[in-house]
Amino acid sequence: MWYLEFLRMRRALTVYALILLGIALALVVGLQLGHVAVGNSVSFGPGGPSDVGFVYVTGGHETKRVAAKSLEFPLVWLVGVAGFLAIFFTAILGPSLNAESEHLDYVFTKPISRARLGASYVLVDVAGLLAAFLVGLVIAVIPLASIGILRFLFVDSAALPTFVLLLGMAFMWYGEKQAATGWYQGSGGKAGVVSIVVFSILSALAAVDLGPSFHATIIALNFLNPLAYLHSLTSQGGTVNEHTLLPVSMAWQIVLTWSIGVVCCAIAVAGWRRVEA
Amino acid sequence: MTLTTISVHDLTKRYGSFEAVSHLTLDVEPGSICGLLGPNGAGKTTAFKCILGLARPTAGSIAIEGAPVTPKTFETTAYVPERNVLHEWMTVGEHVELNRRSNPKHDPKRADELLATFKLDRRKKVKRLSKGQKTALMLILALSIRPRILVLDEPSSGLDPIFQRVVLDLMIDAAAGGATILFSSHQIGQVERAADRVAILKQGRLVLDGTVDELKGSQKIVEAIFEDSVPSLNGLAADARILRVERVGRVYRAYVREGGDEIARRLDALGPKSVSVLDLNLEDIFLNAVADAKSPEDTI
Amino acid sequence: MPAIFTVDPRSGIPLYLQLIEQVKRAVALGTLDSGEQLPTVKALALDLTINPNTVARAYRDLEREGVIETSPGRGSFIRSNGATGESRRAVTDVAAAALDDAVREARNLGLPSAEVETLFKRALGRWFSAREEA
Repeated sequence: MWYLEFLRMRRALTVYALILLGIALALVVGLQLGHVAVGNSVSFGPGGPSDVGFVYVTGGHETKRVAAKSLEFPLVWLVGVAGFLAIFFTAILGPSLNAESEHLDYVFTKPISRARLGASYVLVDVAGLLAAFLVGLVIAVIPLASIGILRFLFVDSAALPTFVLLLGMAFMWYGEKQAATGWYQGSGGKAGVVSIVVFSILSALAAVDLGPSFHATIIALNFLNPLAYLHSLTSQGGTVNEHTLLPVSMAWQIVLTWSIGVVCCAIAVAGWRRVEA
Repeated sequence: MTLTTISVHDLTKRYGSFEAVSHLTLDVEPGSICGLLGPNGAGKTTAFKCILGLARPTAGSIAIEGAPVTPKTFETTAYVPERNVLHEWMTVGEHVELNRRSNPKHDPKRADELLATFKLDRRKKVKRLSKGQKTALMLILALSIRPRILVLDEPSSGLDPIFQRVVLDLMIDAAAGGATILFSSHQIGQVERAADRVAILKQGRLVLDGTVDELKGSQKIVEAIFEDSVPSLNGLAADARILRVERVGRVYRAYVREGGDEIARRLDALGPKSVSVLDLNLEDIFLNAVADAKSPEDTI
Repeated sequence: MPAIFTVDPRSGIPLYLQLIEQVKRAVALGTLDSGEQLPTVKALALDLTINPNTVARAYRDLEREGVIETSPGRGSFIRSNGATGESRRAVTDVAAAALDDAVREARNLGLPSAEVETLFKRALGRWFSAREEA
């Protein structure tokens, strides 16, 4: 029955990819028309070897000579953008177990155990999240490539852990929605909007000062909030600082997001297999 | 000894304080076609759901071919639910493919035959199908595993008379091939043709159960026409064999479960102009079974 | 192939009895000769759109009454040896049932037996003389 979930996921991913592609192409067109001030061409200078290390950046009607070094950017930025998009995709994706509410008469009368059926859905969905991440990554490259800046991309050490953490956040969000909606019939589609609202409020509450015990409670609750695992980056005097809501290291955050995701999916499948059609 | 194909013992299903099915005991023998009749809300769908493990019985037990229902049961058992459970966004072909991938007994040739019979286009999205075509697709999916046991809840809802007959033919074809069928229908004519056994549910309870031939053979209308008014009947209507009575002017009609000839003789002794014993068709039998109990004024 | 039998499922008479009567009538009328093969249970069930078990039951009863014989793997046939005797009995059965219905109906309408007898004789005269003239 993974085939059914595969079809559903393929459909969602197609819509997602088309939307992203549309945005990327709009960016490309915008950049080409020169309306976007980033610059519409990057080229090595005409001054031969002495000019190495500098590039000309054209933006609008101006052309500047810029140090090539200053244009370099790490892969983690792209991962961050793609991860954010993948999390958004997860947030709006209808929870698949609940989505079968109207079809239980059909899926529960097949020679496949319900636990296996539920697990196959989860596996397909996780593959789908990964695909959404990769699709975001690939599509994000298009506008960058169109202005020739892609050659300044370098692979940094933060890229891989960030990728794993962001995917973990998406998986956790996914798992929590499944667990919250898997055990009952219908209206699971609203879970996306509800989760966005709940998680945003939870994040916002962390900034509210209502005494230490309130704060401690909110921080504790935020361990279940995928948004709380987002890192904000600030640049101070040339060094980049990461800020996160949760007082644990990134390694622990990775472990937590994935663990919560797995536990939630298990709870979801266990609840789902007991739903009465 | 052959195992009872579907065995329902003392099944009760409660939703809160509402008892959807109440102490239902029903055995469907191998190779038979059992028609479940009952007014809307009589508990037919709930009974099916309990039988197939889609709903948990509050009390009672279910066995299919002597064993509890497991996923393996569905390799050879197919269910066509009353409501549309297809995915609107999927095509006909995708549903067939899903069926193939989810059941090792799926027979692609059979599926093709059935698609042709119902003139369904594989490429069509389910949301573009009519209600009858959706019913047809659910039947196609069920029949293409060549099931040994077939449970059909209103299998011809939304179908035109031509396709209703096709459905009936398919059921008969399956039964002739040895399949056991349990189905519900509001079309008594369909039950009358296809079923060799009927069970009638009313408010979750089994009110009548037997072979169609037995029921037709035993239930009679004894009609007596009197000269002027219907005389006192000496508690005749209290006879347990009389299901209900009707009086229209000088005509007295007793619907009897059995012993029609004897009731006729007793009525004859009251000196009517005429007494006759009439046959009932299944519709009469059904209506009698689900009619309200004999009103006190009839028990003269 | 058009159906050689017809049944009325909406009637109060059990289908297998209708079928038995149909076969007997066909034998009596010579529509089915002795030794002639009957459709298989499945074919007839599909043909008439009725339950196969009903057909099987009718065939079983017909066999028990000696009207047909069934050999496994070959099918059911009108019995050859007893066919004439059987068909005679079958004719009588069918006619007796029809006459019984008619007489009962006449009585239900309140006719005295003498009048029924007169009617019966008149009908007898009409149909049998008509047959002879033809």
